[in-house]
Amino acid sequence: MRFVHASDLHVDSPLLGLARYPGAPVDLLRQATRRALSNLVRLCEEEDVQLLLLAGDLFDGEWRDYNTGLFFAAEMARLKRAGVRVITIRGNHDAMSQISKHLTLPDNVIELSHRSPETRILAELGLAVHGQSYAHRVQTEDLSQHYPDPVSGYLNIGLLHTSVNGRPGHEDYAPCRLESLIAKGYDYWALGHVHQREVLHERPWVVFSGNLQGRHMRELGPKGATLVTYDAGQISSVESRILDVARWEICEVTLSSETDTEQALDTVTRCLEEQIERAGQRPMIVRVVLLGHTALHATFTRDPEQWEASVRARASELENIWIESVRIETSGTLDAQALGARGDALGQLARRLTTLKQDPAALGALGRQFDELRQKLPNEIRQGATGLRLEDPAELSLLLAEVEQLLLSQLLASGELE
Amino acid sequence: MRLGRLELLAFGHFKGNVLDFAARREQEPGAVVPGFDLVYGDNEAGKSTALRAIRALMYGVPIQTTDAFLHAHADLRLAGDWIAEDGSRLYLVRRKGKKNTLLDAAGNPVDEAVWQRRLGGADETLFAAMFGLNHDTLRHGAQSLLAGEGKAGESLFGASMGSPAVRRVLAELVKKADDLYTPKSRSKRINQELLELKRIKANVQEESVSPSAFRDQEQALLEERARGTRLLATRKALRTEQAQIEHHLRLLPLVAQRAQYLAERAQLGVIADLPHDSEQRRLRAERARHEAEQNLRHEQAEIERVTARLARLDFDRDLLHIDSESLDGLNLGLGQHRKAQIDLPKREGELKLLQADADRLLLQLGNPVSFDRVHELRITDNDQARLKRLAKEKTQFETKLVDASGKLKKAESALQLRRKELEHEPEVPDVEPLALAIARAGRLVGVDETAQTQRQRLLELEHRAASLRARMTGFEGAWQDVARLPVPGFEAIARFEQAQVVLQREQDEAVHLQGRAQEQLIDTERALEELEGEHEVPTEAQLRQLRSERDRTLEQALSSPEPTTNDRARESVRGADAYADRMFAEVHRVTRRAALVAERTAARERLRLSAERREQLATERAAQAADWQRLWAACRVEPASPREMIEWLRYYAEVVQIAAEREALLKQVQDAETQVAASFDELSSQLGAIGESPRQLWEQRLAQLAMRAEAARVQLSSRRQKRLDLQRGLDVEVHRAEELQHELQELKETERVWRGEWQKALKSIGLEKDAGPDEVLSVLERSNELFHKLKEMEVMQGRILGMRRDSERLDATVKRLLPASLGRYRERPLEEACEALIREARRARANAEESERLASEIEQRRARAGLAETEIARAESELQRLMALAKVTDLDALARAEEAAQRARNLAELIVQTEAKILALGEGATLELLIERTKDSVAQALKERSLELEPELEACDVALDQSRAQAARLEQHLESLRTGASTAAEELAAATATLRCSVREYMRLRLAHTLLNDEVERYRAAHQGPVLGRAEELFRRLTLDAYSGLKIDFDAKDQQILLCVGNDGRLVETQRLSDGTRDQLYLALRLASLKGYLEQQPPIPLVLDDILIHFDDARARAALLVLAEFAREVQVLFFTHHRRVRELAERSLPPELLRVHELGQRPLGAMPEREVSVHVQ
Repeated sequence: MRFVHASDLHVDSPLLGLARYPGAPVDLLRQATRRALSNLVRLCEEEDVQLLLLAGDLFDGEWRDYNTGLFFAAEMARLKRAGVRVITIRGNHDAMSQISKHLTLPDNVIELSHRSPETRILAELGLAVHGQSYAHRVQTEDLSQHYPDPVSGYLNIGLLHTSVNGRPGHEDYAPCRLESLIAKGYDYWALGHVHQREVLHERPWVVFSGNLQGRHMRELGPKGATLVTYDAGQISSVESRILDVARWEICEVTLSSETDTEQALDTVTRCLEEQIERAGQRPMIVRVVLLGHTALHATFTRDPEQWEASVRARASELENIWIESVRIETSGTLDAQALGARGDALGQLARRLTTLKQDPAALGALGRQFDELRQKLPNEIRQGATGLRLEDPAELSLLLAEVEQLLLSQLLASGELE
Repeated sequence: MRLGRLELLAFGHFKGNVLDFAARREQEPGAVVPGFDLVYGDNEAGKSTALRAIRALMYGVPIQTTDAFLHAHADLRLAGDWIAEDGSRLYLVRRKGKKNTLLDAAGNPVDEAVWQRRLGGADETLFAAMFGLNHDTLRHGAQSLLAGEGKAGESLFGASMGSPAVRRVLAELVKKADDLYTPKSRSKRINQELLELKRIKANVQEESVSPSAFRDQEQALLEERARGTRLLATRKALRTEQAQIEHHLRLLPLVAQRAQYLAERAQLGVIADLPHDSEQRRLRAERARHEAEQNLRHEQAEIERVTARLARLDFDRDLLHIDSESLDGLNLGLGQHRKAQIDLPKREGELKLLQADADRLLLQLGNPVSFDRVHELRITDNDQARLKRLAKEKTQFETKLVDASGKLKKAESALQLRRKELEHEPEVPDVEPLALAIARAGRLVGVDETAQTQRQRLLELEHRAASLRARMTGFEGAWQDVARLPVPGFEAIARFEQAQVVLQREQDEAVHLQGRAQEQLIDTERALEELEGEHEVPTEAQLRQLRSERDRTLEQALSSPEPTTNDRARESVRGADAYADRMFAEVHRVTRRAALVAERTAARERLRLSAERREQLATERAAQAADWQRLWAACRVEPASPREMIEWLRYYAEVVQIAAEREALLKQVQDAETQVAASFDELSSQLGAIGESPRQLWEQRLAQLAMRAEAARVQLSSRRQKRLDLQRGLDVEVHRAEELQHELQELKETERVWRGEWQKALKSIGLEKDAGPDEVLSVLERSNELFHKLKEMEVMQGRILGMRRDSERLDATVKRLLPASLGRYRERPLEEACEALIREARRARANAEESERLASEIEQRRARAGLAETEIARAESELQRLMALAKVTDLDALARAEEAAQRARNLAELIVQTEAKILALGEGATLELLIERTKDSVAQALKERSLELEPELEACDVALDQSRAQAARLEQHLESLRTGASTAAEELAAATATLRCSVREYMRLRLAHTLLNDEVERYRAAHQGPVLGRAEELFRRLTLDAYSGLKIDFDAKDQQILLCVGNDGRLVETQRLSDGTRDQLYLALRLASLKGYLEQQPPIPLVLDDILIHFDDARARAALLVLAEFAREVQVLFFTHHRRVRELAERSLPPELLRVHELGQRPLGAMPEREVSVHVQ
């Protein structure tokens, strides 16, 4: 017998941080979260599973589009036709969702209550599933402590949306301790909320399946669901299955002996080709990070936009690849630290830039020149994992590192002998 | 660190060449100054290559180099011998490669980091910016001063880092940022992206759809689809009826047509069985018969005509035996014969003339012999050549003899003249000692000038020391005594200052605390007074007292039966309760009072502690003051505060430094003055020796005396040179006279030898021995002419004989070939007979050929006549056959029968086709059934019904199209509802990301601009003083005092700008300076910044590439002197291809500093170094 554990579908949540440019494979990435959900349904059909467990965050809370729900309902109907039952709970994003109020899901889908923990016994499958939905977006109470005791004679599964005892990058909702989950006596904890797949414990199994589809540069690598096989009340295997339709990756390119930009572009292209090969023909969204000690550093920093456009133009010759951004982290023949030792005006400038990076107050003062612009910018610019925070000294400090290279390389570009 | 030797082992076009910068300085004793190395080279000498080599040696050969055209990349090698300040040496080799390119003498890799430390951390960019300057960067820097309108910060900043790019970088940053965003624009990128984002957000809102809206759309689509289905059914019924009507309308004309064809066939009756091509066959046979008859008639006529012509042809067959080759020979012989008839008399006349000439020449030779023996008179070629040579030699040596005699006479008279001139020129004393004294003085002129400058400097130092000493309050001694003062150390004073600051801070704090405690006490007491002033505040003490009273009276009441006691007890209990109740009621006042009391107590305690602390601090300060006095007691100085004494100590340090500097300077000045005085004495002595007056009072400076001595030396040298020239002229004349006499003797000897040989030659040809060359040459000429004439006669006789023989041979041939028919020509002249023979032979050949051709033609025409007769018979036979088939006897009847048969065949075909069309429309029904169906149909009625159906169908189609369009719209809308919102959200995410990128780029550019601008101003504020001070002095010197200084002032925009101060005090903006002066201003700023750098970092060579090409001579000289001063601290490698600059340097710079190296074609190492001489101006 088999069931699939998935979570954090975030259907119709757009991919973030992708600036459009000529040659970008726009259509390939369109509606990636919907297509990932279709892949999940296909997995259930092909693997002949009997139950699909969804551990919360099926939709983004702010979403008010009925079609998102219709699409989800259609996919669930496919599962019904395949004889697959579905048990879901609401996560912090779903708690606010307006969609399901008007949505009629097929009768193979069961949503567990948000008022108290609920147990569903699927006698024909030999399973007892326990769980509770979020009533509100912010759930600070440990829900698992009120979950019922395991039902004897069944394989007991706990369905829970939680960060356990905290995970970086995720709100600390429904906090609980791993030890208490293990002590509960369930056979499998199907967890949601954390987007990175992680097996916290084996026998009993405590598993974050991760999200179905990466949506921005902080959700790197393969994404998918967990396929669980059990027999006679015992779990025999727990396997990860990749279901994402587009992959987010960071391509680190180390430059050294390249003497002109064409050679550098060749090196970048080779690195991208390797990434594409690893991703197995799946469309990729790549951040290119240039590293290494190269004489081309000054060329890159003098006009990074131009350089980024060149990389994107090269990438558009490859198939299925979208350049999210090009980060220049090379070091040139210029070493700001070494330049700071100089006794001339450039040395003074280099020293000033170095100290400024560690002076939040001064950075804040520098950032105030953007007050007028900040007022004109919509909230979307600042929000989210890829948001730009103009007043944040940390952000300004990062920006300053680029400014440092820009200024020093430009000032040193002239005054050469001969 | 300086470069002692540059070895160009394999670099550019160099191979194993060496530039030695060290040799001379090492020979000098004592401290070695880095020095001024001037490298001179013409164009193409390799100056630029040498410049690149120095940089490559220090920092590596670039990956892409232009210096590998002779040597392979892997073979490029450079080496340098580096000399540190302490005299230690480091030999390094640089090869081209990616790593381990720096090697030691043994070829082992050297760590680049270690080498960089030896260079004081100066990386390649710093070296290029700070220590490398060429005329382009100098002019570029000066242009940037112009472009920057003299903005003080940018000028100083740019000059400091050696890059004039500051202004450009600032301008570019602003432009790029403004291209991205300006607050009020709508067209800039970020402004546009903001508008776009707003539009997309609105779109997202529009695209979001509610459940009810979605369902309404779905229902509307279903209804529209049902309406469409109904319309389709109606249209189908109408089209069926229309199709049936059209079917009948197509069938009716076909049935009528078939009936008509059948009737016509019946009218034709029985038809003859003719083949279908009968008509074509008949026509073909008739045409063939006609053509054949015409051909036959034509050929018969032609045969008659040709036969007649053949009969007319007549010719002699014997003439046909003469072939064409013989005929051509006869023709040629006839032409030669005719020409010989004309030429023969002329040739015989010429022969006679030749004979007459030969007779005349024989007579002229004067020795007449018969023609048979005339060969005895021939002179051999050898004899002729010898006679001609001897005759020519006689003329030559006779001319030379005359010429030599004339020259000898002239030389002897010139010799006499020179001797007389020399006797009149007096003796001149030797000027060499004076020249040596002048040369030594010349080398000391610079020393004298320096000593004078140093004297001035000494005065300045003493003045400065006295000025500083005046600022050292509390000290009464002279500035010379300052150095001996046992002053305390800087650290000790700093410690005192620190302790004093701490004590002062604590004192201030104690006073502050005391004040605050006092204020709090006053505030607390005032609050208590206000609290208690309202009405009494119940206290715990009072309550305790009342309760004690209550207990006591209660005790008394219990033990005493008196009612009064009970009343008192009751009263007491009531009073205590009431007081407690009041406390409870006024609990906040109670607690407030308790808090205030506690606060007052605390304030009093703090007040006491503060007072104690102040007393303690006063004691510590007194002790500290005493220690302070003790510290300075040994110096007999009344000390001010530590802070002031730190400043005092700075004055002290400066005075000590000045004293040390003055001491060193004084020693230098004294040494210099001693040398100069010795030179004065030597020059005076030498002047006396040549009779000039010794040193005059007005000659204060060595240069003045040296100049007078030089004038005297020049005058003496001129006189001495004149005498030398005269003596040299005399010697030349004597030598010349001797040479001429010798030449005359040689010529006479040659004449004697010639005469003997001449007589021998005359004898061999039989002439008298006194015959002259002209006579001999005349005999030779006539003899040669005689033999030439004889040769011509021989040739002429041969030609005459040949002509006569050819005529005889032709005559015999003609007579042999003439046939009997031409027998009459045998007696005619040769020419006439030959012509007749040729003409008749040719005519006979032509007639024979024509006869053959006509016979052949007759045969061909007879054959063609036979063919025509056969063709006529065949055509007749075909026509008879066709008439038999048609059963007729003439050709007209045959034609009519053919026409009837063809029509019958056509009608049968038409009937079959019509029936096929009817069956095709019948959808399987038989022909008979279909014809039956149309029996009752009326075409007109059917047409009318068809016209009625058209509008009905059109209306139905329009309605159906409308329904389909509506359904499509609804479906499309529904589809857009399915994906529209998510697509819009994706667009929003993309637009957000794009805007984020743009904003980030804008911030990067703006931040860069703000920071650079701030730093430029900060640099100006911090370095304006020292850099400007140094630059001011350099600028004054570089402009030869045309400008006295530099000043920072504000322009109309309140920006600080750099102004130049003219020697008359006027202020000049940098834009108004001439190009050359602006170059000098930028050079002054650069050198001033370099000076600042060298105060903090060890020196590396300053490499200058022809920076003076835009300077006039005077300013170039001033610049060279300024650079020479730098050369005392840092090695100056000055490259130039201007000889003038080199000469200026050689004339102006101190010899102990300057060293000139010349780049040329020869290996540098093999080139002798030029000695540098100093000329007195």
